[in-house]
Amino acid sequence: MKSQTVERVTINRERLDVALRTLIAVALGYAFSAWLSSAIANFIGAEGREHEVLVRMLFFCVYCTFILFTFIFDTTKKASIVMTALSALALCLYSISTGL
Amino acid sequence: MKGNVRKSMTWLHTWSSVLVGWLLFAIFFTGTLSFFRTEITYWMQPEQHAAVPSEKALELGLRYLAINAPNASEWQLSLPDARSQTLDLSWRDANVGNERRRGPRVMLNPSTGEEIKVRETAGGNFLYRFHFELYGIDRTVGRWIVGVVSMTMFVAIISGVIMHRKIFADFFMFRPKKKLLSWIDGHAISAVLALPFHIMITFSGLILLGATLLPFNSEERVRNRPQGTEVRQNAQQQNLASPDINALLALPISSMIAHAESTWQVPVESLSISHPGKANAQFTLSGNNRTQLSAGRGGSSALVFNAQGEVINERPASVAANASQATYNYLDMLHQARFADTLTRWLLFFAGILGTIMVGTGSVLWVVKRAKQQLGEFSFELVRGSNIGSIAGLMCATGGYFWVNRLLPADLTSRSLWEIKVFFAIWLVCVVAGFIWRDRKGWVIQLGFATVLFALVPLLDHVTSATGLDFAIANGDSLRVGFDLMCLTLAAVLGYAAYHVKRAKAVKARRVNSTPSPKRKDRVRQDKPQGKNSEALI
Repeated sequence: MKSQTVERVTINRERLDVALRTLIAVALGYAFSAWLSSAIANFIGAEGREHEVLVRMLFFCVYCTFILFTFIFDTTKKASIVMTALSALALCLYSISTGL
Repeated sequence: MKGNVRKSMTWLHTWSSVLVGWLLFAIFFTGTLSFFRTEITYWMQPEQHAAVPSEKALELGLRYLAINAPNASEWQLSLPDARSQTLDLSWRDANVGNERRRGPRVMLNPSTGEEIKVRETAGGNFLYRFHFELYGIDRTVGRWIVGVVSMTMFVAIISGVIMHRKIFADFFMFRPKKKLLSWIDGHAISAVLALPFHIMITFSGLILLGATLLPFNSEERVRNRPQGTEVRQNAQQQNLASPDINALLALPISSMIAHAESTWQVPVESLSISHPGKANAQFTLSGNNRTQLSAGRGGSSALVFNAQGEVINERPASVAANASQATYNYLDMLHQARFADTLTRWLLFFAGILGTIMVGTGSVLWVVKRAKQQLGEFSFELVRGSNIGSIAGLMCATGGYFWVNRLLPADLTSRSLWEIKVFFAIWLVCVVAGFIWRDRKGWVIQLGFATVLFALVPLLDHVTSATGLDFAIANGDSLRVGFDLMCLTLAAVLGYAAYHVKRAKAVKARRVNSTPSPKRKDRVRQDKPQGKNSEALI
């Protein structure tokens, strides 16, 4: 009985871990990729249509890498800390690139 | 996720794929068929089948336009080519405002000049549009769903590459009749064999959906198109003198075409005549003469002649403004195969089929691996049933789509809509049947049904087309014969699959306790089956 409860708790914790990582990967990854790809395009000095297509191409490469990395860390805590820090850095870069 | 990188990637690869596998299969399959959407539409309009390319096509086209569109400001003639047997004409009427981008269009038999009235059909365009915006839902929502699925596919491909220990060894390894290992090898081979294609088609698909998926990035485009405010003028009031047909035919159009073809070394595909029949008439000739994919859609140059047959202008091909645009154009052209000749198109098609097989085998593999352990669990049964409906069911629906095209009355109102309704009705029935018969029986029934549908397509074509298949073969109609042969090939593959699945039960009885050789232990450990006889449970 006790072992069954422990197993259930473990399964629930794993599910929560997966849900959290998925949230980080999808939502934070989207923001990170948007900021970073826009920042790179801004630093390069691309404008108009060039800016648009450059961001499009960079975005999906960055997004894919972000998602993969989110699932590589052995704990969700570590993943969330590192990915949040990276996103903050990307936001800073984006702000600098736009002159804010 | 705890463990090494490879384990994490295996987990991610498995779950990201299984979540979107069914829809991804449909997107990949319909997208692959879209490489031949023009040819599919041609097959689905049997009225076109009597058309035979002829050297008289141009003359017949000019005659038709001179009689039927004498007051037009511009005529356009698309000559028969490798992807079209008919002569397509359109014109822009000088007396009608530009409310419509395209003017009237007609299709002629290039050997007789007779107008061809084709039936209404959703044709290949339905499959094409379905693969990037689905059907029956808002376009934007459809594109978002396809975008999410494509992104998941991209993650699955990259994680699939990382998780492989011996990706090149797997390329050369296929172990038939080894139950789970055969599924793994089939999945790996179809993935690795066309890996660059899979990466290219997924990535380019994503960037083509970029305008929808990245709303923060969309450039504001102001379209200054005319809004149809021009005052319509009565055509009778503006009735200009009709062009003299004999004078028109006396113009050196043949020498213009010869000049253009010798310059480009490719056939002229279309001819546009502005101010036809007037002294200031201009003839613009264009063909598939692109030299750079990076130039994008405007990468073909055109030659402009005056009525005396002298070149007065050469419209150069567009050039990408910068490296980003060039890369984007390159991917766009590759994804849509706009540049492709027949051979390249077939190569892309087979790479797409490999992608479809990769997705299909991946979904089946998930079930095979967990059969013994999770049999009877809701999630397992859900995936098992869905696999049948989404893979074999889609084959039935596609075969049924071709059948219903020929069986519905040609003059039925909203005919194309009925074709689509029948497509989805068959698919729905197959999904429901897949849940009812989730085991081998379900696969055999649906694969067998699809086999019959595709195997009889040539017969259906022969019986229901205005001209029989003997006419198509005699006149070298490669579009129609190619379509029928492809259906026969697909029927053979599906029939083999049905036979194999049915026969697997006998294999079960003979090889329940087969053990892998020591040499392959590492592979078995990596993809350890959770049931001794799991294949029998797909």
